[in-house]
Amino acid sequence: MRLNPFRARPFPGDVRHWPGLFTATAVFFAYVYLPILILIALSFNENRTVTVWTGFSLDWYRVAFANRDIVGAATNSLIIASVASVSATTLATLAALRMASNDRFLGKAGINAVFALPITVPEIVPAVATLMFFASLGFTFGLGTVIIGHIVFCIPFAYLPIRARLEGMDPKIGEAAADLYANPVRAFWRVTLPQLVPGILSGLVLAFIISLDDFVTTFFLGGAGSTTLPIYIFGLVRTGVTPEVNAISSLMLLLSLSLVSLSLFLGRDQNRKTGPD
Amino acid sequence: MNTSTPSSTLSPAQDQCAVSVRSLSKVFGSGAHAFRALDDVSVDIRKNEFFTLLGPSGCGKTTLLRLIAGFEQPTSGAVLLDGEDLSAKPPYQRPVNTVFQNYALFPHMTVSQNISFGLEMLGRPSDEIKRVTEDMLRLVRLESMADRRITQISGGQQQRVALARALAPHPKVLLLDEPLSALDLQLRKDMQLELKRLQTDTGITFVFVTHDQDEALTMSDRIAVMNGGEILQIGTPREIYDKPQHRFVAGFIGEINLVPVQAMGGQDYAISGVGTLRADDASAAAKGGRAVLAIRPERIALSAPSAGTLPGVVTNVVYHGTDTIFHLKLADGLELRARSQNNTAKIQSFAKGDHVGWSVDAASVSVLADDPS
Amino acid sequence: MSRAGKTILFRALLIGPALMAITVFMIVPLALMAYISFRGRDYSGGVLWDQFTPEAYVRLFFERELDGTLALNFNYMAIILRSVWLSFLTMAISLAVGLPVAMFMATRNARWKAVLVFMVTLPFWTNLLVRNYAWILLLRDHGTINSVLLWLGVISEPLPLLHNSFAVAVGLTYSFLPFMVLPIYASLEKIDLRLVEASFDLYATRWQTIRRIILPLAFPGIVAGCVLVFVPALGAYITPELLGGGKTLMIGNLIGFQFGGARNWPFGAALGLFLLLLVLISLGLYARRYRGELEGSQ
Repeated sequence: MRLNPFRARPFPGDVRHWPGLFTATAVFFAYVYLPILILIALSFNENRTVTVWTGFSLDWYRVAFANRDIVGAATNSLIIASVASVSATTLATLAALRMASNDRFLGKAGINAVFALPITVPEIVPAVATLMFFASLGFTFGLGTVIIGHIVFCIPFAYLPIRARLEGMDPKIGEAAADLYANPVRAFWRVTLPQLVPGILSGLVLAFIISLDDFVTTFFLGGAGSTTLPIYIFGLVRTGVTPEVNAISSLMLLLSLSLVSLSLFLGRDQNRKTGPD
Repeated sequence: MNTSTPSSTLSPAQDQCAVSVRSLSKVFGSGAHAFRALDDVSVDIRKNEFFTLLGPSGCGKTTLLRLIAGFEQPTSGAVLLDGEDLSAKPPYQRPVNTVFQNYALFPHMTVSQNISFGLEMLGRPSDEIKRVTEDMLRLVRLESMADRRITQISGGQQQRVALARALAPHPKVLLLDEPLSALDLQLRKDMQLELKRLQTDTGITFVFVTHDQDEALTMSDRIAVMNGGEILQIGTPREIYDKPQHRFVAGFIGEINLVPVQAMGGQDYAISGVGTLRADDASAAAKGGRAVLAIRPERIALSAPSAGTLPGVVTNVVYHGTDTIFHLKLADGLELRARSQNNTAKIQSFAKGDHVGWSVDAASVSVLADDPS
Repeated sequence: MSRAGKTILFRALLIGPALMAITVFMIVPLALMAYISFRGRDYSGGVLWDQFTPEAYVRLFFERELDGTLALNFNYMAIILRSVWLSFLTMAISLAVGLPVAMFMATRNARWKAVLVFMVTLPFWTNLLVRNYAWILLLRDHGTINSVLLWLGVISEPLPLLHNSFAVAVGLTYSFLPFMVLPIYASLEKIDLRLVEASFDLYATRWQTIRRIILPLAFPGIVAGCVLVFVPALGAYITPELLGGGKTLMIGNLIGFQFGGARNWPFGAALGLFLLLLVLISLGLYARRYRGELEGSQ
């Protein structure tokens, strides 16, 4: 029986058809995707016991949408993610515009390291550090503190793709604009920015997803009235598994999946040369 | 054969001069990592001229072009356009346009948007922009592609868009940085002719950078051969090929035999252990001094050994279709190549091991200084 | 203003805001955390600012008896060691699974490569909490795995799969596996497949080819993958919280606990600093040898 559609002609030197590679990959993808698929399937289960399938039902989605706490948490999530991703992307774009140029200046490597810091350090550490910082300053914990925390860790997610896109741009294109009588300001608005927009949007969507999905920072920097969907789900899960959780969790998965697809679609390199034949 | 056009190597009168490069130097980096890309280069490029900068990669030709365009600032020296010093002007204020090596077309614009960009930036009235853009599309035969995106056209078409975009503002000088290097051979041959036609039609001064000697010889009015950040020789293609004044120039363009000799006075030069050659060259070496004779293989005539020829032994015969190359061994271990056109069907009469006689017309011999560089 | 002055001002205006945001709301708090770790503990949940004490660090190894004497206490060390061990295990499993997957991906044609990379990347962008929650559904006593095994008759009563180190290792691997696959894939992808053919041509067996050709060439990717899995696993919070139950704490949970139930900020700060240094040291060691790989794989 040939399970492996890639296996065509066995030849030991042909690394593409080595035994085990296909099996390992199949197991890997099953491991990665089955739990998610089971979760989504169970969210449509009419049975309250959650794990035994008895029939298809949208009841739990109806229950979830009727729950004012869930709607409130979803609203908070959207507010935080919108404000944090837009702010972080703005800051990141400005910085990337300067950092992507290939000139050297003192501290450039250090600044790049600082911009990568929020995704290099385990989230729990800056989360509790910022908690102590805000508490020492006498801040009231709530939406404001959560948004500040989110802006900080969203910056690298926006910064890295935008800088990569800027660095991927042909430096000759800027020279061509100057050669054709565009001063630096007009060259930026007419040539650089139009090419950068897809990268910025892609970074914006990534920052939005990351903020939307965040738990740890929100948990430690949140307060009264800043409950987000992940915080709400966490609370429910700790008290026990309920089918409503399956429904909201599935919705969050689907939202992330569609947003990341959108981001990849925006960020794809549509200007890639077909090659100077 | 035109062997003496002395005016070509001297400065033309100032009013005929489009670009005048004065003692230009460019050093990249500093300290131990400093690299002198251009070393005190001076050249005058005439109006309506197709001028080529030829040399191997790293010779400074592209640096010179970028200094004229304004993308780099010179370390010292100046660039004059129509007698006006350009040094203080950024690229967007210089009436010169560039065709980039990989075209650098704006990927987010259509073909016609690319072409009209320069005119828009110059603030030309919209009816003029429209008219000139259409003229340019016609000039490069891309009328039907006007609204295509840059990614939707072929490499050859992108090449022509880059040309049209740079010509549209009608610059005083058009700079071309190896614009044909990304094209395949046949397309390149076609574009060479097309570029020459465009230059004649528009009357714009072209400064063309290439490392391809064939391209340089076929298209140029004059060529400057560069190496190591210096211009070694400036001349018409014919002067450069027939009368190289420098070993590097002789070796870089076409095949050449370099024969070490001793000057005998007058026009005679002795090849040690072989005999005497006559060279019809003004730059004769002093009597008794050492020199090198540069002789193109196709200028060497082979015959049976006789008086008036010099002796040699055929060591190899390489058949090339249009011609045959004979490798000769002279006394003293000297080697020589002679190229013979296969312009009749008769079988060549020389074979490996044959003793032959060879001769060269005195006008076909260049005398170079005995300088290893 | 001079040209150089303008350049510096322009640079400051562009880079400044983002740099300030991270400095003020991340680097300053981390410095404050280091400071607090040497301050006294306020039992109501705060810090005695004017009291210097190494108490928080003493607490890592010792327990203070009622009479004030110190007694060795390995409870916290056990948690730290468990964190390191579980992260290491996660890294090893990820490598064992990730290497063949990366090899498979790297040997497909361009179209399949794009699809497979997309499929590996996708889960990373979904909610970590939800992905870990999915494993609760699978591992519970009445969860999917036990139900299936019971139904098949393989077992007669549910296996205790949840709330133990096993569950945490499964969850950590699940969370961070893509970080192993992608950098290895990136380094394998650059290898010319003809090298493998050349190796076979020169009488190498398949195993020798893997050991002598493929692994050395993939090594930078493997190291990058190991760092990218080990570091976040070490600081994991959600996975042990959900899948470990109360018994399988890791450093992250211990830190979090000091700001919730335990109200011991200086101790939490000391633990946070300890974790931070652990991470920075492993990243520093890595960066010294493989500069640039880490950023390239993100």
